[in-house]
Amino acid sequence: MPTPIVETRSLTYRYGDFLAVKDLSFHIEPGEVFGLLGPNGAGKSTTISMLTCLLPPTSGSAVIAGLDVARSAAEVKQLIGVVPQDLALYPTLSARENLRFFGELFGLRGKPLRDRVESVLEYVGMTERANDPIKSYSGGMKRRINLAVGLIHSPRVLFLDEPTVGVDPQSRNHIFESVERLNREEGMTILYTTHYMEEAERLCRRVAIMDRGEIIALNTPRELIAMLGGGILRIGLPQADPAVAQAVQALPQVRSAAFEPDGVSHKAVLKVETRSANPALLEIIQLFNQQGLEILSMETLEPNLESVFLHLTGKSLRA
Amino acid sequence: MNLLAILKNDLRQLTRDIPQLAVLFLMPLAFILPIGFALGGGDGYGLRSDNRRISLPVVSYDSGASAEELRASLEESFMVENWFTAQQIEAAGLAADPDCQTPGPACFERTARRMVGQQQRSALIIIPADFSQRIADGQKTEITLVYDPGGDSTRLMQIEGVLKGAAVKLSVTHSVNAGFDQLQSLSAVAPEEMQTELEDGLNTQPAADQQPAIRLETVQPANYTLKKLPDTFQQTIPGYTVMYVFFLVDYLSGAVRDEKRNGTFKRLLSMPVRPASLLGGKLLAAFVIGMLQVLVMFAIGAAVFGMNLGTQYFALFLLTAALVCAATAIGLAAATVPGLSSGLVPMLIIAALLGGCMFPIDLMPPFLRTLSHLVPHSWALEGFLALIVRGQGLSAVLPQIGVLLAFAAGFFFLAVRRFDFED
Repeated sequence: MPTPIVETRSLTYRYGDFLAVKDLSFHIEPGEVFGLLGPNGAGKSTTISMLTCLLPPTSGSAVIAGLDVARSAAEVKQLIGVVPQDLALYPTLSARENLRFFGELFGLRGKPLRDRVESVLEYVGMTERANDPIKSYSGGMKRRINLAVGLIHSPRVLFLDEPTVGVDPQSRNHIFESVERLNREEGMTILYTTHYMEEAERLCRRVAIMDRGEIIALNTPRELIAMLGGGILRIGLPQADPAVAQAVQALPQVRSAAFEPDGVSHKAVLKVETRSANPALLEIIQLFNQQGLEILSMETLEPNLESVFLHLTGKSLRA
Repeated sequence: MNLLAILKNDLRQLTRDIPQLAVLFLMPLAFILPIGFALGGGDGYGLRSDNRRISLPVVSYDSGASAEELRASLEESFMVENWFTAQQIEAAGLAADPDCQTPGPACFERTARRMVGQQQRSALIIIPADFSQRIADGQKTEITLVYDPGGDSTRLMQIEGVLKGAAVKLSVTHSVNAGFDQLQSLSAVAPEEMQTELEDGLNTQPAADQQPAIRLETVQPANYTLKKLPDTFQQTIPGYTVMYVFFLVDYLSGAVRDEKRNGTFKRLLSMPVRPASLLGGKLLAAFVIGMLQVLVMFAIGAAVFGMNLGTQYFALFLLTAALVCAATAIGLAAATVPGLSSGLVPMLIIAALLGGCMFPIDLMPPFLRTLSHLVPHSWALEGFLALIVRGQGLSAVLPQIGVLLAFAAGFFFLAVRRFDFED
């Protein structure tokens, strides 16, 4: 296994009495796109803040390219690029002026700075509008410049914190393509946080699912989805009868079946993990017909990271 | 180098922010130009010669008829003061003076002299104890006029003119009466052929240029320091310049708040930028803007209105630098106070008003003059007036520079203690 370029050990951050990040331990390999997936408030941004030297960890450690983020912040900052969730740009200045300013802060001057500015503008497809003030851009265009600023000094590790929030489909796609090109062509290591499972599935080699400051699962998207087998069925029934759950669990295409509480309507919801969704559905309908049982509702959850999160936490990613 | 990059970036942003540019550079001109053109370059504020009836203390050690007659003549033209209240004596710093332990003309004279010395009265008149007696005896006597040599010359001429007129009238009246009495006694014993000539003599008025028996002695108060007062431009241009330099408080605190709100502050801190460089760059940008404000306003004042800037350019530079330091430090401190943004401009206007930026401190009542020392505006303005109007040098404005730097240091200390990069 190659030496990790990012590694955390029991990384913890506490805001007063609130434990925002608990004992986080993971590593990222060089050239890997690593996803942090979780709902708002899961602790993703706090984790990124610690890794980008903005917050000192309450306990534990984080190392980037062999440098401790708390002890060698100045050196770490030269190696990393940060694309924050906020559109952290100067709205009255043009894209080119913003990039020049941020480039100067990394010590770039003269021709190397000018060349790098043009290069990143081309990378995010904003060369034509580069002299317009940022405030005249659409949300998606601003996001693209936000990304370009993070790339201005050719960082070894790029932190992308929810980079597609409020973005139009065209710009969203452009950001995806930029991330893929950066990883493919420049071998850049990327830590990508999002609460959109399709982004994590498309871009990330491995995904850590966070909830309430903890990593509750970490694997490749394929392996995480495989946890669900063939998918999940949620069946609404008039009452929670344990005998029904046992009968369903005994079916060949069913891996497990259990009732979950439904806080809204107080009806019984039977959650069924299947080996394969469609055959399992046929078996369940046959069983209910034979026993004369009533089905109030039926919901099929495709096997994806969204349903993995639901399966692991009992709540939606966008909740 | 990061400091300079941040400085350049802030200045570039300001060039794109037309409303902010207008507040910092056009608004002071919007006041200075109309006021300058409307009031002209003279005594537009009426500092040197106001139209109010002149208060004139008349200290009389004589209660005789001639002294009363002279006082009555003066009362026709002036608001003659015969006594001061205990508060006025106390305000003049003479409450504990031995002369003022018992009421009397000695205390009145001491207080009036002090007030002339402090430019609270243009002049005072002293009538000696034997004034009426000497006139009655046909002897020469004198009246003393103590005056403020730095005061309005027109007003002084007016006092002197009225006083001389009253003195001439008094001395001539007594001369004529005395001569008339002599002629009457002579005519009774004169031969008949001389009666007509004597009666002609009695009916003839004395020559207007006859030497009066009352001499006017004019003196300046002891230990007097001349305090020249500014003309309209010398008051308006520094006044509004100082006022709008303090609008840097609004600019700087707003710039810091915007950076925090936009997330650029956080982004900059994730880059190889030290927090000290980040704040230093922003403070330096505000400092440059403030110095430019003063340069532009004074240059326009000199070019358009011919305002005399004096010759103490180095002292002017140091005073300006101290003023701008105070404004930027207050701006940084203001950025640490949540929810202050909406109340900031009214506070700045009130401070400018109290500091004498909108109209001269000399027109304010004493308690407001004392209060004005609580705001840095008054110190800056006093320094500018010392250099520009009175032509004083660096040593004269060191106290003002010191106070402004103390304001700067105090607010900077407060700001650094309160500043939170994370919020």
